[in-house]
Amino acid sequence: MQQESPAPEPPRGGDARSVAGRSREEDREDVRACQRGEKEGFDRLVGRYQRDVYRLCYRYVNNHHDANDMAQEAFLRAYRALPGFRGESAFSTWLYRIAVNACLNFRTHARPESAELPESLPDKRESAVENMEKGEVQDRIRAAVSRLPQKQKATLILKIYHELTHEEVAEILGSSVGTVKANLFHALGNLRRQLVVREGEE
Amino acid sequence: MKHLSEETLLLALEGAEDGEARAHLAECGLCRGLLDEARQGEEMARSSRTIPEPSPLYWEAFRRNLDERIAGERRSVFRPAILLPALAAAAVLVAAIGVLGVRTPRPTPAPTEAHLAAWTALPPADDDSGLALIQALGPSPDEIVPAAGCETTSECVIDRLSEEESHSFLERMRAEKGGSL
Repeated sequence: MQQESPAPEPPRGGDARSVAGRSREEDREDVRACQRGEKEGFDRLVGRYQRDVYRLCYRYVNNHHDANDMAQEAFLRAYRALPGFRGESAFSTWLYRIAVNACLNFRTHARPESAELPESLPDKRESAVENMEKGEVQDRIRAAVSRLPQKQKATLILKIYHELTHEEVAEILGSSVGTVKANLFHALGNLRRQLVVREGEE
Repeated sequence: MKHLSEETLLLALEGAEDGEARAHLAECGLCRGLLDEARQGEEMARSSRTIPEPSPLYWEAFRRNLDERIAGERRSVFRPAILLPALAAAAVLVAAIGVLGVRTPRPTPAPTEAHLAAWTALPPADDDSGLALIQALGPSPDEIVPAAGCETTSECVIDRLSEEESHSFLERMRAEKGGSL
């Protein structure tokens, strides 16, 4: 088993900083370097975004192996498409769009054995039982998120966990802001219903 | 009663609803129920803030795998084993074009001699060089009974040729005269 470590806590509980917080100038320089054929530029972009892309993919499928494959696929697609990237949108928005498309097109492979990464390291201030219960609840929530309809899922993940604005989510998903808001509202209602129904079943 | 749209309900969830929406929510249990559900859903979603975080070693392996895949793609595109035959084929193609020339469709040249209609092919009777031939090839005047309405036999023979016959006759004459007609 791999050593686990807690994910950093973003300001509002999301997985990532806002796109607005990115160093867009750094991105632009690295994109230009990559377009000049300097592979190091792409390496820096990967280093900067690998966690965000992986987390997006993980939320989508709720397992490490598929998330790893999807994140690899997303970066590979980005590498292929980078020569044609004209900088009309922020690199991060463009990359998120590629990652969401990789998620939408990904077919989960059957795994011979479950090799899930463990939950975050337990907080020593909490008892083992509390941690276990907390871990189970988090498992259920992540599973419920991954079962949402595709567009609702993408909207909820980008908005709640990646803390993007409605406009950024709309740009990534190619939807209107109104549609993003409606999808998010449906997603939140469906998530709650799923969790309540499952608790009722158990 | 017209209920609030999802968009408006989301604004209410974010605390950005207008007075009209607020008044509606105060009266409408259905919309209030939907809003409460979404609020609970948001709390649940936000309570699951972390995902299992891979170790730093994982990220090294992630980049290494990605590098290998990218290098593999480059090799498959630029590998000499594939590139050389492609270049050779291109060279052969260029050479073939150079030798044979590019055959582009050319407009059909206008015939130097217009194909005359049968009735115009017959020369005037005064200096009709074909008449002698007709007479030589055809039956003797004794053998021909002038058709009704014909004063001379030769006149009637020619007049009674169909277009097809007169055309073939003209071709024969051309052949005999070496195409000078």
